Formats: sequence, structure tokens, C-alpha cells
Amino acid sequence: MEQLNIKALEKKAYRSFFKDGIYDLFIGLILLSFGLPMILNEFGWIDYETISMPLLIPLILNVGALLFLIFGKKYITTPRLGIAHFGKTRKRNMRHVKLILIISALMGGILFFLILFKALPVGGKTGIPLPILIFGIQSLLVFSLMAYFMDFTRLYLYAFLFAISMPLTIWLKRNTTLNYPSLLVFTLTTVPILVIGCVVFIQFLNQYPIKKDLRIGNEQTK
Amino acid sequence: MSKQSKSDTKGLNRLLGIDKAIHEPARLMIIATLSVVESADFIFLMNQTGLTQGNLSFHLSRLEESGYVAIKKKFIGKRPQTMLSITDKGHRTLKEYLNTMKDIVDSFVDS
Repeated sequence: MEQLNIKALEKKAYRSFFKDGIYDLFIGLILLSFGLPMILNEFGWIDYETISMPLLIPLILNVGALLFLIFGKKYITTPRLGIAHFGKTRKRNMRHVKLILIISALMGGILFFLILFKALPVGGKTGIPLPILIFGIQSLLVFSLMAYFMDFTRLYLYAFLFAISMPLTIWLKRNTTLNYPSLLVFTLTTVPILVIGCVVFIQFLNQYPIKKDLRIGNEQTK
Repeated sequence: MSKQSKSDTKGLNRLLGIDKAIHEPARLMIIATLSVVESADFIFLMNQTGLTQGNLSFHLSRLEESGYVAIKKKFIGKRPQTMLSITDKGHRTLKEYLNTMKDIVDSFVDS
């Protein structure tokens, strides 16, 4: 009984850091960075032959998402939720997450350039390029592992949405007569993540306002 | 005195031996929360326990006096930061407290 309650208390304390919606918005923006060039290409607003725009849009969105994550955690979450350093197991798990992210970023970079330079072996009957299939599988693996190690259950849903986005878009393009498959798929996958992120973020801001005199409280603890 | 009532009295007497420094609900919440983290700051503890600033300051001082909580103050740039952690003595006392309370509750339930 003792162990169970302490464990539940630790879990509650740890999970409180996901109440800010910042990870949700970060992941939503990353997925948008993949989808937006494809959508704009569908509308004929950018061309994959000119390399700059398809490169620039994900770059801007990825950097923006990363800055939002770093500064959001620092200037929005920490003043409201405070700081806590968790035990060895959590630290070890976070090291795993960092390692997974580094490997994933490297693989993502390689895949991105393979896609960009059309070095795409087309796979089997589906007609989906191999790098796109790898992207889907990799997303599913990476986000599911992150969800497991971070104890962040919403991430399992995002893993699924992330994983299906690109392969489904390509499949629809090659096997259907839909006018805007990218718009359809990325609306169905990205919008839910961003909406969840916004709702959680607004709830968090309302639930945890910054109290001006808290620093005085900090001073008065001793 | 019957064997049963002797056992009840013994159980009740154990209640008298409970450490009052952590028996108080607010302090128990604080120490239980600190027991699941390596360290935390004042804001985190306020959010987790739901205590007001004044209440938390008061109870933290009491726990520090008892040697159950360590309070370290430092500056990050110009901002003061107070990090709180449970001491080894605090860990031991919390464990003993939980075991004692469990025994007492079990003895009442069993009898």
C-alpha cells in the first residue's frame, strides 16, 4: 500500500509537467513543418524543383518550434509550476529520450535529403517511396519510445498521427483522384495535435497564474 | 483486562509515540511530496500540496527545525531560488510513520 501511494504521488508530480501543452504544440508544429510544403505544393504555390522554399519552410517551423519549447518551458512553465528534480529512474529515462531524439534527428535529416533530392526507391505495390515508409515506422517507434520513457500517454496518439501522415498522403496521391490529399491528411493529423496543445496550454495558463509575491515567499522560507 | 482489550490499548499507545512533526496533515503532504523528488522549489511544492505561501513557509520551517527537510538558497542570475529536499532522517521518519500508521490501522481492522 505504501509503495503504491508513493509511486502514484511521484507519477502525479512528474506528469504535472505535461499540463502546459508545450510538448503538444511543439510536436504539432514539427508535423506541420512536414505537411506545409506538401500542401503549398499541391496549391502550386511552391515548387519542389526550386529547392529553397521546401527547405526553408520546415527549417523556419522547426527552429520556431524548438525555440517555443525551450523558451516556453523556461518563461511560461517554470514560473508557474516551479522546479523539481526527480529520481535516478526518471533521469535515466530522460537520457534515453535524448539519445532517441539525437538518433531520430540524424535519421530524419538523412531521410529529408533523400526525399528532397528524389533518391527515392519506390516500394512495392503501394507506390510509397521507401524513405517515406521508413519515416512512418521511425516516427511510430521514436514517439512511442518517448511516450514510454517520459510517461506521457498523449504521445502514443501523436506517434500514430505522425506515422500515418506522410505515407498516407503519398498513397492517396498515387492511388486516388483526390485533389488535395496533403491538405486532407495533414488537417486530420496536425490539427488535432495543435488543438489539444492549445486547449491544454490555455487551461494551464488559467489554472496556474503567476503570483507576484511568490518570490517573497521564496525568500521567507528561512 | 482481556487479551483483546490489552491489544487495543497497545495499539492506541503506539499512537502516542507518533512523531507529531510529520503527523500534521500539511507537513505530511510536504514531506511525502519531497520524498518522491530529489529536490524541488517552493512554487512546485505549493502547486503539489495546494498550500498557501504562508502556510507552506511555516510548515517548512517546522520540518527544517526537526531535521526532516533541508532548505538551500541560491541565486540564478539575480533571482533567488530556494530548493527543498528531504533529508535521510526525513526519509527514515516518513517510512517509520507510514509503517506505524499501517500497523495501527490494521490492528483496528483485524480486531
